[in-house]
Amino acid sequence: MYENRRLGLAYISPYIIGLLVFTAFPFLASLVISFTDYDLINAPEYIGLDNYRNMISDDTFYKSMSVTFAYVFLTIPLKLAFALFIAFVLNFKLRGIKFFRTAYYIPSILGSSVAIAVLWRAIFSLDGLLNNFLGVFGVEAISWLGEPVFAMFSVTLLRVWQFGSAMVIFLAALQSVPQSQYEAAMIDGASKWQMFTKITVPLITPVIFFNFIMQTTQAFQEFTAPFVITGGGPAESTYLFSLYIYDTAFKYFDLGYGSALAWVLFLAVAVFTAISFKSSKYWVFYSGDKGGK
Amino acid sequence: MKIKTIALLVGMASIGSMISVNASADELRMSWWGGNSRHKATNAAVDEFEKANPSIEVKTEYTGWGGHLQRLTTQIAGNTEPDVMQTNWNWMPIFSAKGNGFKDLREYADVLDLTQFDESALAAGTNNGKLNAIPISMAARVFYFNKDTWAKVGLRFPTNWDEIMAAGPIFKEKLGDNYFPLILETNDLLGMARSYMVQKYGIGMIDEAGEKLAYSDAQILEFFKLYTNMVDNHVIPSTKYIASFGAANMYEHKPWIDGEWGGIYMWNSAVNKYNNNLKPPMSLGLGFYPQLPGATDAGLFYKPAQMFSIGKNSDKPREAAMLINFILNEPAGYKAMGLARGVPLSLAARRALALDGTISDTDLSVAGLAQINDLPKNIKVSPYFENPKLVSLFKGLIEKMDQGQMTVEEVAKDYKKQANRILRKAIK
Repeated sequence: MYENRRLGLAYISPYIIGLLVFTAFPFLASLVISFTDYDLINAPEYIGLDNYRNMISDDTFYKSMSVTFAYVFLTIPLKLAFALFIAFVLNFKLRGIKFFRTAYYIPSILGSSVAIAVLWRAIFSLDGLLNNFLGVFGVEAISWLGEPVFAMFSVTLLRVWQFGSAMVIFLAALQSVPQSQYEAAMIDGASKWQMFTKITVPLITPVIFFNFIMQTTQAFQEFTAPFVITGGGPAESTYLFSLYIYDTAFKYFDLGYGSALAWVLFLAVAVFTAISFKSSKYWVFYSGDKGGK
Repeated sequence: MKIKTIALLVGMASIGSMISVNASADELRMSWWGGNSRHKATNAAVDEFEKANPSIEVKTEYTGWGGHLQRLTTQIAGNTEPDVMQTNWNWMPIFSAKGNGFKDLREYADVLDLTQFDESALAAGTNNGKLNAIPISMAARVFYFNKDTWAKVGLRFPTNWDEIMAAGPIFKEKLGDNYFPLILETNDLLGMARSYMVQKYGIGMIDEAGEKLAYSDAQILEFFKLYTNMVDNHVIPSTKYIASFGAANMYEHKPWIDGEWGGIYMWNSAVNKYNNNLKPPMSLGLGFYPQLPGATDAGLFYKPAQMFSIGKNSDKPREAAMLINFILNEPAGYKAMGLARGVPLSLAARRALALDGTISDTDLSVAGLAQINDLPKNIKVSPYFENPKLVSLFKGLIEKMDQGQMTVEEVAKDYKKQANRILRKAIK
């Protein structure tokens, strides 16, 4: 028994060590650093809650926090609706469906890489692909990255475009909805739309909830797209919180304040997730809920 | 039992991979920032060094300017910095206020020939009596203009501030809305506005003793109005227009490549990067340095272009010093380097490169340096002038003004308040 346990631990040791060294330690270290004044070069100096207190009068803190929430609230509904819609379409038995499933999933494999962000910049630049395309129809060039509202839209769209992973999960959920329920509804004379809203959606709410939580926590931490495409500009309109954390820690070399900001973001995500979980009992239905086992 | 052994091996391997072991005893690491021409030349010089010293292998790590300081700071904080690194003049107070952040290069004077350098130049790399960095070349910001664009508009290069201002409407009228006589990014704009103010009032921007801005309220307003006037006169594009091309390097933007942006206020040591990116056959020419009537100082941002330092944790400092000496003072080194790091300060290198025609006035950085050497430049730039927070503040306020969120008066007022707070904290 004991022998087996040791063997098991040895097997999982690469993961455990990685978790301890690269996740748990930095996680706790940043909490400690957030109570200090630390510039990476000189020894950290304990300053209590000063870093947290300074946020109250920090305009950039409020600005980038509101930009982040705007980004999340803009991205998530769009992305989930789009992923569900595409999954719904791809659930039909059409010719070449496997090709389309693959094609729509590819943007997610490319992920939020720098290369894709550079491509995005080239598309939305004033002299970019999009304006050239619109120019064919006589539309005057639009400053996608120079106007605050459009800039936010351009950055948001990159994340929405990467709907593949959410789509695949939706697709799996759609396929697990029992065919008999649709047949029963059909006999009762339900329309396609009624079947979708009254049968499909309620039955896959657990999966919608899962996708919602996963996508939200990721969206709060978005960094690459705004960093590469707009650099947070113009006038801080795409200055997401993660950019502010990065600038504070590695451009201004204020590791203490940067760590404190990171912890505030962590708490914001935690609170937001907790509220989502609380609300879930009103709109998420598990098949075991009624009737029980 | 076999399985157990394998599992143990996997576990040990994963630990082993985290403790990186230096592969060879005679391996040096060297890092720098720059553009493609510098990367190529430095790698060539390093190859020559390896040929001359077959027992030493040099691993090079190079990036663009963006993010380089962040990367290096993380390395220094983790005691994993390279043996030889290119450093910047205003990093000295960050890394080595007491002189112990880098090795003292004087200790290796037997392999690193310091007699090739002017003592006043070495002073720029000296902290607390220790020579932490050796300047490679000196540089300042000057004006360069696109010869072809200015010929197209039918103007000769401007000789004073008024002519710069007057060129804007002519560019707009003759070439169209997209054409501007100049393009200024945040740091260029800051440097140029400071130069103008030095010429006009004879003072620098930062009062280090008072830990605040040296300008009066009216002067701060004038500082910002210089920008708004230039934008209104079509001399430079607004930040809003520049932002519409995304966050890439300016010289990678299409309007620069195509010659729509007709000039820069740039380090003479960095100008070739901008020149090389123009669509052939376009090229840059050195502009005149505008001087206000009666000005006793040009207000140049004059400083060592780059320096070399040896990491305090280097276990092969002698070899590192040999590498620096090879690049700066030995023929095979400085010939491979050419002018990719500006006109060398090393006397031996400068003499040899002048004799073989490498240093000639046809080179933009050489021509720029000759102009710099002729201009009066006694008012020194404070090392806090490019404090990252101060630069961000300036950039943010200009952008807010361009987006119509603030007036120039509000910007000037806010800048004073916040800049003084930043300076107080930075200088203390």
